[in-house]
Amino acid sequence: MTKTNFTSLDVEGHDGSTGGLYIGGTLVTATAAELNNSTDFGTTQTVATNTAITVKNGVALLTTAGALTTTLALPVSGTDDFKRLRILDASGQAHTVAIATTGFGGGGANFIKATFSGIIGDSLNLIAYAGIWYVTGVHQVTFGVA
Amino acid sequence: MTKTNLTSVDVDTLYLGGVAVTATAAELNKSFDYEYELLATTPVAPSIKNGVIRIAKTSAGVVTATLAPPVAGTDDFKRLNIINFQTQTNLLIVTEGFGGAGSGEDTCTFTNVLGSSIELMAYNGHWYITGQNNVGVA
Repeated sequence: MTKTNFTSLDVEGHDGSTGGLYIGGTLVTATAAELNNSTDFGTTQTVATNTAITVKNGVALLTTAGALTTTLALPVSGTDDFKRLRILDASGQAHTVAIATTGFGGGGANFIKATFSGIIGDSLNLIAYAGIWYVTGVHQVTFGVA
Repeated sequence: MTKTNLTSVDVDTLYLGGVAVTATAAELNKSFDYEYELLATTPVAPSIKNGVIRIAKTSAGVVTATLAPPVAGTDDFKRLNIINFQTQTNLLIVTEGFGGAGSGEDTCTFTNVLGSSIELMAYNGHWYITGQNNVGVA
């Protein structure tokens, strides 16, 4: 099989609908932005102080011997859509993650603060859409008022 | 639009419509290249690390599945969806504990309901629970 090598290749006509990159004759309908938001696992933020979680696509690893009080900004509608953030407890503390009054999933006042149970491995898994962090799965995390 | 056909392409940096694809081939593969495994015997050790596992023993009885820890780095962000496909209280054991939590968090027990499930993600040598339906972890 002949393989063609390119240092840099731009499939300029790729728009995710009418033309662009084909694989085995099938058009790839995902755009570069969609591929990046869905599959670029991004960076890991080690959170060791009471601070803001700034990573939006990747892992926030909660460490420290004491419970952390952290905050998480809302995602940007459009730009951040479909980014996935996994917040993992690596220290076994009752960490908290607070969000704006919109709340997780847009649930409002009763879903502003997520509290980890204090066991290593607890997790809060989120997907961004239209300016809201939606919960896709949790392990031993509860939600409540601020 | 003119279409150019290539049998095999190796691209150092790919752009689509002028936007760089920053996801690596490894990340794309972990996101989309899923495998499937059926656990039909007991005890058993699942062999796949990225995909869907169904637990369905051919005769009645509980399956005890022991899942090896993922490799830090290499396996990071791989995901397993493990689904109970029989009405048994099947067991999934991760010896070092989910998230590396140790003995108090090392056993997932499925309720004896079809469709009970757990989702795991590999990160830094541990399996983290990222979702669950009708399971207990102790």
